[in-house]
Amino acid sequence: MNKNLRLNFWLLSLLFFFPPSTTYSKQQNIRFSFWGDSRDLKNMEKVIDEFETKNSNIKVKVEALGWGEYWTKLKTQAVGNRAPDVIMLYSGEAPQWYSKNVLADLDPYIKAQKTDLNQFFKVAIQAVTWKNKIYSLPIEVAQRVYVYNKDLFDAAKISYPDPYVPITWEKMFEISSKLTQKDPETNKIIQYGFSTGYLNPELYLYQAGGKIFDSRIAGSRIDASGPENLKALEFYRKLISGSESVSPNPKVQQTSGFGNSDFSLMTGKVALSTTGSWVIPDLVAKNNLRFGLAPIAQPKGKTRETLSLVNSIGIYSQSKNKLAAWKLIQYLTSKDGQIALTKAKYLLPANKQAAYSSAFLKPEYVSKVRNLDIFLKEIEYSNVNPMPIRAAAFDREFRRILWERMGLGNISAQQAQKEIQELDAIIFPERYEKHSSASLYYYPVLIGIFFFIGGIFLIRKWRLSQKKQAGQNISLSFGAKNNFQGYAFISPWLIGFFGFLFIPMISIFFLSLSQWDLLSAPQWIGVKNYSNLFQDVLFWKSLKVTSLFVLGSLPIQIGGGLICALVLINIPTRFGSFFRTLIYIPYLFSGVSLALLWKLMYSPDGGIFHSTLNSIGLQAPNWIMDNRFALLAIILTNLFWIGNNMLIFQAAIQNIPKSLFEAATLDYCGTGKKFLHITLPQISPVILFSFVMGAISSFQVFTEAYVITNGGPDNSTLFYLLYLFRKAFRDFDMGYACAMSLIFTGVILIITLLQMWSSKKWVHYES
Amino acid sequence: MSLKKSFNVKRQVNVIFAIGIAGLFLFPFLWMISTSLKTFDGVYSTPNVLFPDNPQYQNYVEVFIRLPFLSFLKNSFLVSAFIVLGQTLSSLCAAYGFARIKFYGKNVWFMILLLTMMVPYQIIMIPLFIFFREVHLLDSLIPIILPQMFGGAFAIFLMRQFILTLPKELDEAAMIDGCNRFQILWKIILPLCKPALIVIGIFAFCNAWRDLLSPLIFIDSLDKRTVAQGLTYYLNPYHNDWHLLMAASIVALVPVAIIFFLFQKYLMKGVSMMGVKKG
Repeated sequence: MNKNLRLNFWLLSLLFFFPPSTTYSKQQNIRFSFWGDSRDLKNMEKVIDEFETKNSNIKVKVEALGWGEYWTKLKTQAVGNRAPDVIMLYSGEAPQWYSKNVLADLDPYIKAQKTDLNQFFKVAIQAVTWKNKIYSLPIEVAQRVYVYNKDLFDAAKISYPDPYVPITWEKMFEISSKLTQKDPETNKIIQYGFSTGYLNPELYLYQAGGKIFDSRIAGSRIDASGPENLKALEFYRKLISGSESVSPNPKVQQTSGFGNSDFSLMTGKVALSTTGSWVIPDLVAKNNLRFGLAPIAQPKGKTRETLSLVNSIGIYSQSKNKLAAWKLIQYLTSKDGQIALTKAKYLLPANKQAAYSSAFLKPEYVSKVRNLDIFLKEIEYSNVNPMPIRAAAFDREFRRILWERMGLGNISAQQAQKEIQELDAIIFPERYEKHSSASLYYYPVLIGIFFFIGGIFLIRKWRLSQKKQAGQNISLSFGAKNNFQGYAFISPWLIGFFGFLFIPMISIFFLSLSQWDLLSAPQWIGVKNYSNLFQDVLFWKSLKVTSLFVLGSLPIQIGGGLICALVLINIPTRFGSFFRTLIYIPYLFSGVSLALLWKLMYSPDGGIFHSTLNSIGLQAPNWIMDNRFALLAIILTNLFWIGNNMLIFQAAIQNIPKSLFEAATLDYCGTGKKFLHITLPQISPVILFSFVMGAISSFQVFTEAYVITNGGPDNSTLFYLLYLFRKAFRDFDMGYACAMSLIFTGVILIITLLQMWSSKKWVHYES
Repeated sequence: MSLKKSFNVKRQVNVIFAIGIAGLFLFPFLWMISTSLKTFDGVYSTPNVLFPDNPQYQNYVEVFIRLPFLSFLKNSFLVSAFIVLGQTLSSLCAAYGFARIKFYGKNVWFMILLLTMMVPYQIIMIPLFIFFREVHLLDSLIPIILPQMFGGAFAIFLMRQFILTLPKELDEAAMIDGCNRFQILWKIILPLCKPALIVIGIFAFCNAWRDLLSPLIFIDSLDKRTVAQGLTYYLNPYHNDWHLLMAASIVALVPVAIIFFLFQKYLMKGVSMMGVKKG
């Protein structure tokens, strides 16, 4: 009692000295995440430090993730209700975040603080306005311009392009073809005239006077069938595909020795390149490189147009410290904050005052590139990239058609235009919703029947085996003590089975009948997921790709294992153990590391497959960039998996009674005959075992697909699990993914049962 | 005499063949090491050489500077250690129950166990994700570890086969001496099962080490990643630093290699056992 009193007194006196804090003086912690590497993180922390000294009650934790990773993780965080308070977005991904209420509406804050939106570039505000509301404030404009290598222009005796007046498309193509050079011996291009790499291909369509959507922001349908689009696509095809191409296919360029656009420019492998302001510091730092800037080429007789991407920052709608988050946004988009950002890492600020300041127009840069303000001039003609609600999906599909189909010469420009128009169904699926009819209940009923029959079959089999046992062992008494002990011992497995298999399986079934993106409440939609699934081209494609993979893998796994086992048995023991280790080790090593190794071996410039095939005079395919070879390339990775089967087969062969071989030798049987009539039948049960296990594990291939090709090119290696993973954790279409899971289980069960059933015909069992 | 000679010729053909295969398998690894010691330009230079002129050993240092690779390693060790411990012990327990105790419904459960071998773990990742989201455990190592701790079907099956080969008289003798079931398992079966336990442990370790899917789903923060997931961080669509990627890959393989060479004998025997017993 006494103690309590004293404590209370203490607390009261504390209150006297430190009065209860208002919301302002209390320490507020917020998280801010953006994409970038460790260097970007350090730069950003510097700027944030300045902010924290000005707002001592706010503590900011900065997180940086790699591009690509950033978006997936942002989604998982948003569905887990733990997204950072301040989120960085870019105009190619923003719409889905604007439309799903992940971001807080900034209008009240803007009104309350009288924030002047005119301090930003027009295009920047265009990018953050969604249905008349503002969800984020712009921080950076990624404006594309041309950079050219003066030495290469001089060497080809071509005059430099005008620093402010754009050249025409035709002129650009003419210059570029003069600058594109081939190795006279191998006929391989060693220098490209032009690199379109970082330029959004949409721009070519818009420049030609065409359009893609009915409206640039928040479009509701694809409208890309105009004749201008065809003209632009034909030009683009000429640029990147075919024998007279002057620009490397951006998709191929990434994996080739040309490196990315900037790298190839700086190493003198490309004369004219499209890039952004981020490259300026590197260019200036390279003393032996003479370069110039020029505006983006325009088609003749059309309105001048360029394209910008805009990075912006917004507040997470579930944030508990919205006011602190707003303060950070306000600071980072203000003139001071923008200048600090530009000083920390060179970028083009969205704030006009900061952009025209000496932070961007750095004297030391301007002295080297007179027309550095070309960036600011180009912004005036700029529009933001098209922003339909599924902008990211559009971006992905659009580039797939342009780079992985048209760009690899697989389809014509007309076909590309047709396929772009057909993207309508993917980008705006709502308009294609069909009302589910009664006949669609067919599919789950079929699946139900399948599991039912399977269950009956298994129970019958078990009953039979019970009867057999009962015959052998008449007294089947269990006793309470044994029951208790038995269940106690298998309880670890039972817990795992119920907790992490059985209950999840049941929930998968129910989830598969609903639609749920984890952000909003789940909706009961019956069998619609299944009916959509059976109409989904990619679903069938992924099933086909995976089946082909299994069919291709099993012969390698079994045949390779068998050959190695036979060799292993017939070589001296000492050498044998070395051989065995060497073949077995890749099996244990398999995973991301080895997948990366395969990727390196397949790459067109550093890879050994290429150099070996080329050195013996064969034209090597671009393995992982060619949709005819990519799947084969992944099937070949199975070669590293034969070690396990080798060991199993070796043991099985050694277990065969010697007398059989001796008898065969007496009958003058040759090696081949012995193998066919003794070895093979004797080890056939083991082969069946490897067959079943191999099929099951091949169906589950994921790592190789994810690392080596990531589903591409043109979905030719879209494995089932990869598609399932994307549906679940990229699109967050949980119901759909659950339907896919159930079907996957069914397929594996069918295949295993088929193998077991067929085994009766060819597997040899003793007695 | 002639028979023996032909036998020797055959043997030599086999040896040559084996050397060929071995070379094919060894070369990619040499290539990996060689690439890890090159510069960025050296990776793409023509002609491509196996022995770079001045090996860039600092690539290995760079790997640790660029990314928190040490914490990747630490996380992977944590995950693997827990999974190995959980899986071996659970498997041993369950396998003992299945092998030695007669209880009601044993055969049904064993059948179910065999069936679960065919159910791919990946398909339950969605309910697991939703579950761990509800209990606020996303972005931690627990969702990766926990589901794997209760013994895999394959491990239990292998373990049971192994225990079945041990003479039952051992159990009976111990029981007469007054041991209970748990003591029998701990004092008699466990030491005898060492080879099988090691094999199961190694497989659990390797599977945990190479698992890419679960960390991709459950982990966000950079410092909570495992090695497998961390490696993919280097995969940049616009820039492939192959020399660093290969150096990092080699670092990632070292623990697996160490474990392999420590337990090679057990492993080879254990794997051979797998198929034969099944038939």
